[in-house]
Amino acid sequence: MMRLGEFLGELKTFLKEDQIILDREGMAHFSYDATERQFMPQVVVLPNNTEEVSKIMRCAWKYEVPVTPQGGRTGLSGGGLPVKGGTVLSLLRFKRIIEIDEKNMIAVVEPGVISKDLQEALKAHNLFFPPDPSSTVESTIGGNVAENAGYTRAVKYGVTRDYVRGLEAVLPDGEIIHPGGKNAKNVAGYDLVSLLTGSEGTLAVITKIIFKLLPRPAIRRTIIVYLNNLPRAADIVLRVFQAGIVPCAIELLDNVTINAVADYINTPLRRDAEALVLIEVDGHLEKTVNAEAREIIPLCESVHGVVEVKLALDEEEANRFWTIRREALPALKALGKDHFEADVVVPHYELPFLVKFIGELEHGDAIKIATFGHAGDGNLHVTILYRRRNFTELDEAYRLLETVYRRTIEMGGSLTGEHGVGITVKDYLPLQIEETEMALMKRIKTAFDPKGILNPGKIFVD
Amino acid sequence: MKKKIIDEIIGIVGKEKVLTSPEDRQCYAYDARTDGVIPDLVVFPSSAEDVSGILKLANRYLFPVIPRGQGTGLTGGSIPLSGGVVLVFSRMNRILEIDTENLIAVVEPGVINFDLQQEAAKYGLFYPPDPASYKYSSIGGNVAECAGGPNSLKYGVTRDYVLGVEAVKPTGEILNTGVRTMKGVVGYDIARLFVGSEGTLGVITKIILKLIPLPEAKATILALFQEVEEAAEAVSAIIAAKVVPSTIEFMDKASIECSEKASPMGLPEGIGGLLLIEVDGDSASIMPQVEKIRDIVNAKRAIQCNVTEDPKEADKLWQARRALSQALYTVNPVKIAEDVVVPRSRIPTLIHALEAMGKKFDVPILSFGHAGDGNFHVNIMIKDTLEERAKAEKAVKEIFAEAIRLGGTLSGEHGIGTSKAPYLAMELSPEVLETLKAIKKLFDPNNILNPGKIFI
Ligand SMILES: Cc1cc2nc3c(=O)[nH]c(=O)nc-3n(C[C@H](O)[C@H](O)[C@H](O)COP(=O)(O)OP(=O)(O)OC[C@H]3O[C@@H](n4cnc5c(N)ncnc54)[C@H](O)[C@@H]3O)c2cc1C
Ligand SMILES: Cc1cc2nc3c(=O)[nH]c(=O)nc-3n(C[C@H](O)[C@H](O)[C@H](O)COP(=O)(O)OP(=O)(O)OC[C@H]3O[C@@H](n4cnc5c(N)ncnc54)[C@H](O)[C@@H]3O)c2cc1C
Repeated sequence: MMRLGEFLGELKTFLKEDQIILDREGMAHFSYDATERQFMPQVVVLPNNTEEVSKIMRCAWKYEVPVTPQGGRTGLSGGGLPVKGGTVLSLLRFKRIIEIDEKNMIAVVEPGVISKDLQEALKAHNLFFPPDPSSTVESTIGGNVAENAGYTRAVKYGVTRDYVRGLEAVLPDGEIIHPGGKNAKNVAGYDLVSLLTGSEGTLAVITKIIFKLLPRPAIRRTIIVYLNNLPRAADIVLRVFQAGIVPCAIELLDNVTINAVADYINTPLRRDAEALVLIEVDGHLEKTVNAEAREIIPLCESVHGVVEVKLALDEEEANRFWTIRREALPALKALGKDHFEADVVVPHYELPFLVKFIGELEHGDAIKIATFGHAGDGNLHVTILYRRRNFTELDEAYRLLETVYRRTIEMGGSLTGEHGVGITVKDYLPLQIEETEMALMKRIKTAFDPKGILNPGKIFVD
Repeated sequence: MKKKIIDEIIGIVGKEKVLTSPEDRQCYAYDARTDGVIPDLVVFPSSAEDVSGILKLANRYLFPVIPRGQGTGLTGGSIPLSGGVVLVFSRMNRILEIDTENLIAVVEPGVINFDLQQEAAKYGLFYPPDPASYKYSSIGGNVAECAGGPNSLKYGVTRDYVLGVEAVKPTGEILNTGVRTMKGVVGYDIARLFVGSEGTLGVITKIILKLIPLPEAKATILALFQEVEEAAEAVSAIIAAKVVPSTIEFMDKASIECSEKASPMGLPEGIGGLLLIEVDGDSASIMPQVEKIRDIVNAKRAIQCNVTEDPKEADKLWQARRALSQALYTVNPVKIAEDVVVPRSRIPTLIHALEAMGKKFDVPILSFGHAGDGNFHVNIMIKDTLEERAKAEKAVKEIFAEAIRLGGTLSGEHGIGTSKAPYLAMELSPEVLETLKAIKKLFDPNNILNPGKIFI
């Protein structure tokens, strides 16, 4: 039984007034995320350091109060929402970049650092931290680690997990652990760092992160391709890999998305195109990068259905191309409809077939399906848009979502590539994960959190 | 173990898949590190179902089950400590699939690392993890230990290539976990929890691996230095100059002398440090990388720097490094090998500490390894006497303490097994250890799978 009164009483003995939010307007700010769903917490706490997090967890443990860790609330699966009430534990005050160690190419940061701020800080050192989700201006580093976030350059550079070397984290009972460290390799005991990465704040609260960095690639070349055929766009991915080239990014936008972006921002775009593909290659040597770009251009031109291939002339034009991609989701949201988004991922070879399958789905006229995403990873964001509060369309949207999920699994794919399970995907997990594995995950959860107080209601169906 | 139980196991898998005679079983009592006790039975499973059947019996009758690849492990991970059944995967050695469209390989655990590399290369593809034991060790063993190798500097370790596994839980259920895709964040990352778990959480029966395009070209550089600091500084300078070689291997003075004595390649005398560096990529990118590295090693006062793009010549440059594993035994018959890692900037401090410890404990210490990763193989060579073993043990403990003091770790790639289990608490806090034990317990409530490893 939750004993909220006693919990609050004890919090007040070690937190300052401005660290505890109890008024409705104040709390409302922490009650929704990018899924646009809302759950009111009963209290919001804003700790300043690890000791405070540990004390908060100890109290929550004692008084059985649900705790939902929260970063920038840009999550697309509802992981940061307090669906069972209790307290939101916001990491927004964990803002320090503690260390940029050039010699070992390591950064030590607190979880509340905004993705973009870390990017900017590293630029000054000419170092590179590849994971940078499109939500860079608002998402926190802690959220990125908790979700194992992807980003456009994951094709070449891997996902967030590939950069996490060590963590500081607080367990549900308040104990502080420090798995991993600065070392390039480490096999001492089980890999808790990988287990906590992507665990969506259900196993521990992350309070510090040690990242590996890379030298910043000096050169990039960005290519934009328009096609009058969507599945052919997916073919481009296969062709490029078959040529033995690993670009850093291959992104795809379909016609619905192109038009949404064209309505949303003022930039030249071919509205009639069925697909837009962005390809970027990067590296340290101009010669090599240029050679790759020169190989990719004719290769794209030879793909049936391609109507235009253009190499960005300068950095400014490259940035303009990328803005188109970055604004895709905001532009779709601006259409003013409700939506479901399936963050599906399939093996590369299946990609043209998945795109074709989605294109051929039958649905009512008012429903729109927008497909865009990280084609180079086989990862698409299939966005099903329907009219607000139209329950017939809502039912249909559910049906479409499930059809897309089922087809993805048949193709050997996964229900989510980067946005996580949270509350939006959990009902569908049995499609992908066998009962024995699900039971095992539940037992891991119980081993960390026997009282079930940390981020309850996520990943697992109650 | 009772004969009745052994007969029951034979009933499940068939006579042709077991070894029962004491002489035969004796061969599966040790690994490349140490001896254990003779197992009661050796089984060569040919399917996940075989493994599942045995594990279910093990939970009923409570006997230990120990998975084993090729026994090249360096921490005693595959040795039986109290009898039981050893599962040897040498017969599950099929490469099931090389998927050239999705750049994926699906293999059984007994596949030898080298065989996979050869097969992938036929399709212009590359499986980078290359432990020095690559011609002998199994992919199952590599995954269970999270093996690294020279290529890890640029390409990462085994974990970075494991997309999914089929594994049998200690309680017998067969689990398919992970993905065939480049990404996937559905639930906890169970597949990677198996990686590096040293056969204590599950028996791996199938592995889905990521492949990458084979680099077009490669060059090898051998650089010799008078002083070990110069070599260490060169490593840092190369990394700082934003070249990422695929390999930077290091040998200290004692290692150079040792290998030169056993298999002379005509190196000048009195060299304090040797670096073997490889760069790869497309042809046009090779020479610019080589030039940068050559400038750096010269600036750090290298006394010799050889470069080649010819594979045969490259083999010659690797001679000193390759001969070393065997040459070590010319110093003394017993090798205590540890593999500590320190952050790159602490390499010179570690090397000096190792020299000092050799003197202090009066034992020869030879160090070499993957300098680019800060990963050192520290070899204490001793005579087979109790007195020497006691000295070595003290030295090991101090080496670990020093590595941890420098912000390093006890093990970069060889794992904990039995040999490092007593020291694990030096690095991991009680809270972390408790968490690891809780995970072990929930996978394996009866503690039948590879008991006595990692935890004491
Ligand atoms: C416009 C837009 C573009 C996006 N683009 C991408 C993209 O390219 N790639 C991608 O992967 N995602 C993308 N996302 C999704 C989202 O930005 C990421 O999932 C991001 O990592 C969430 O970070 P956050 O700080 O907003 O976390 P929140 O939404 O606040 O929380 C997300 C999850 O992390 C947990 N959490 C947060 N901090 C901690 C902590 N310190 N310790 C433990 N758990 C914690 C929460 O409990 C929750 O489960 C996008 C979202 C939007 C709105
Ligand atoms: C000369 C030499 C050089 C070496 N160089 C390196 C190096 O550069 N880098 C490096 O990382 N290592 C190196 N090693 C160590 C060793 O080769 C690796 O640890 C290798 O991964 C072990 O593979 P194996 O098949 O021999 O496994 P084994 O020694 O048979 O087993 C190792 C561990 O894996 C477990 N295991 C094996 N198969 C399975 C399975 N199917 N399911 C579950 N658990 C299983 C065992 O229980 C045991 O705990 C070297 C060893 C030698 C002798």
